[in-house]
Amino acid sequence: MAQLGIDRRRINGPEDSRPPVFTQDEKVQPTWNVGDPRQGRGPKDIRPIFLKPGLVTQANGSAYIETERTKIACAVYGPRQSKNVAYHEKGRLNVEVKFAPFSCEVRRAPLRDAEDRPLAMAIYQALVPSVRLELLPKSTVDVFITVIEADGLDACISSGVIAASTALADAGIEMIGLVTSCSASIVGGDIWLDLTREEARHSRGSLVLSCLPALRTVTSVWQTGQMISDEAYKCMDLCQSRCNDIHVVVAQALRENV
Amino acid sequence: MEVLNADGYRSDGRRQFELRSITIDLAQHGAADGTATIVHGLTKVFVSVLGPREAKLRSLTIHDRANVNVEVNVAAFSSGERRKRAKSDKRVLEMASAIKSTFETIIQTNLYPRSQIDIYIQIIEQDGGLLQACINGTTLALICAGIPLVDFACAVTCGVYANSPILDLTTLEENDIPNMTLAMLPKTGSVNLTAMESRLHVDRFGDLFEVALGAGRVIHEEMKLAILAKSRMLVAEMKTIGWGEKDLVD
Amino acid sequence: MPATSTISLSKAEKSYIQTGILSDPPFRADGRSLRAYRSVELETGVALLANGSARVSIGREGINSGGGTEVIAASKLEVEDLNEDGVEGGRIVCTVSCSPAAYPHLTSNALDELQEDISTILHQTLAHHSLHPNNLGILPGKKSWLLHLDLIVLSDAGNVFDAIFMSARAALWDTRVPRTRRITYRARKDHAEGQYHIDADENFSGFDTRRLAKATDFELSDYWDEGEVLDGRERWPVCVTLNVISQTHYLDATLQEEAATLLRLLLVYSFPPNSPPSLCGMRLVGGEDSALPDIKDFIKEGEQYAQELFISLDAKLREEDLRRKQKAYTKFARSR
Repeated sequence: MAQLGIDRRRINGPEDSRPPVFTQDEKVQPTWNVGDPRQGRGPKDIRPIFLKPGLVTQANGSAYIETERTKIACAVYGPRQSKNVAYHEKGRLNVEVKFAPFSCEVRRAPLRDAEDRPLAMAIYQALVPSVRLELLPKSTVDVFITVIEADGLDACISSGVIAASTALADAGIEMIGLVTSCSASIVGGDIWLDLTREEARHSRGSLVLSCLPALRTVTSVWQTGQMISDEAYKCMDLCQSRCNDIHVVVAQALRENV
Repeated sequence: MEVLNADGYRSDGRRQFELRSITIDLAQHGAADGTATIVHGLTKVFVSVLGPREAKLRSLTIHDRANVNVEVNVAAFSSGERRKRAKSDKRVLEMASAIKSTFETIIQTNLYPRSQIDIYIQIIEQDGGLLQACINGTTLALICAGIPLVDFACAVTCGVYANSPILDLTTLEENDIPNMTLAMLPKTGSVNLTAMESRLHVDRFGDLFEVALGAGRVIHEEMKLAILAKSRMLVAEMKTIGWGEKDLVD
Repeated sequence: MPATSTISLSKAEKSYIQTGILSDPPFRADGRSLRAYRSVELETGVALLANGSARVSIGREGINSGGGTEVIAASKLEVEDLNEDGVEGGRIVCTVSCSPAAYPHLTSNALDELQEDISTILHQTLAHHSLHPNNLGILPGKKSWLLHLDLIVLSDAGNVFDAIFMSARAALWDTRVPRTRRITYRARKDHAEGQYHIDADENFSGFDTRRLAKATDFELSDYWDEGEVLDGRERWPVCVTLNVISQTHYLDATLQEEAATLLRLLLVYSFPPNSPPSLCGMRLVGGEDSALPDIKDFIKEGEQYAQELFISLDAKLREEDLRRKQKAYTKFARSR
């Protein structure tokens, strides 16, 4: 199986490998059970955000976001002329998400499973209502997102959306507002915001809400797992108020960069 | 495996020259111009024909005739073992090209220069005689789409077991004995496809060919009945909305 | 990128459809009310070689009028080794493929992307661990079932997501998991050390070579197409797509209506017996934004539509079960 797609462009690791065994410094297994209070932070707290626009100098606009162990870089190129596409009155937004090989617990082989279309789809949906594509006929705006370290899928989506929206603003692409995004999950009977990968294992259902805080509208709702309607309403309300807070962070970061 | 037992019965209870039951459904589906579902025993194929229409790619147009485009999709659940075949699978492409060359000679493509006729084949269940079902289904779908044909193409799969021909093989039989698929044009009596991937003694070929031609005529009768029934129904429907015989003649 | 619609419409046509829906009383080209579905047909057991299958069509009026959205779904079970790709307790993989005949003007690349996007939504919803059936394990730590759910979109006349989820639910409802019996190999104590005599615990059947390698340690007690139903099959969800034009929404859009609608809300609901309805998936699709209070209203109403859809689908599935039992019985009787 592994031999099938051998990658000749890179130096490949050994075929068989084992994770190192440490005698000391062993991770203390948290004795957490469903129903216990959250460890490390409050249930409604999100991880602190570090956001810096303009890190990729070659791109028209870029942003780097870090929320504890989620690290995402985003670069925006364009608007450029659409190639080989029939005339379209509106511009096209093209979102591509790539994972670094070392971003997840299991290695993501370059070329083969580095690209993640579902994730790109979720981020695209969150961004597209905000971008004024009607001003860019026959053009394409490319958004390239690289996940350097991933800590949960929901966090990837929400951080990716924030980074991409910041990068679009940095590139000077016209938008009706900045998009911010936040995730919430049901753990036990509680609602926790911004889950890590480890916490997400215990969640029954989760929801990522992306919104335009300046206009008080929602651009995307992305829900998986199970929750009853009332829980969904609560999650959405909590996410929206958190998105308003994040909006301040993004605005601050953009202002500092000018 | 014993293909033919001592009493002359095959594994599914048929005789040597017996065809599997044929079911034809010519009901309209979706936006296609003509569709046909044909069932040969446990092989089920759904064919949609679109066109003649403007080609999707300009490079595909031919200046003096229509371009026939055949795409075959195999459902992952169609065979005993689940298998997802990619569109670029060699086996699938080969079958598509065999179907394309069969129908390029039958369709009067010169009537539609610079256009394209799309034939989309969806294989839903397969149990031997796949090419045969695809060709018969495509003939019917083309007729339903109103595309002028020179003749029907009636295909049949046959094989040789113990020196004697045997008709309409199932997967089990196909794996076991030398077999070929033949497409014949009943009106002109000509043959425009023979496909064989196994070895067969040349002396057996003549018999096999004759039997297959006969079977082709039987299949043609079935197809004709289905087409006639469909046309009768259409005519009846036209009458209900006030079209008289006179209008039809005009 | 995911397109909200697969056909293009002129501005005049779009505005005509939008005005129709927003006017009071609203009117639609086919005379339906905003909340009415087209007729839905369902049949289970359509693919004989699958463990469960169903065919759903929305909006086919009579056999000769064509049109309508048609989807075939079929599930197939495979044995998986936990040392390779298998997961303890089995897993579910959903794939959707779209026939080019359903989308005649899409290029093959665009078609691939479309089917991948639809697959993602279906897979993320149905393969979620909260819906996972309990009886897909075979041997703890060794073997498990892999359930492949394959769907084919034969034609699309709008509202393809509802059709997909309906057919997926029907096919999973129809799925039979072959019962398995564990075989233990025991070393006899009276033999010399190192020399093991292997014998099966129960009567070993020699004919189940269909899908099993020789050295497996379980056997099927059922013939391959029989078995027990998937555990918790009442839980499989249904999807309702709300098409949103400003603050109005309507159901079961045709292809033209979809092209004239900028925003869609996909609501996937499950109604497990004896517990409150649960939302199993929600997606906002389209190039417009919407206010949160509006979305909450949509969810509230969507839950009701989903419940109605669920109840009628459930009734139909039970009817199909009966019909097929009856059919099997008469077939058997005739052959005697």
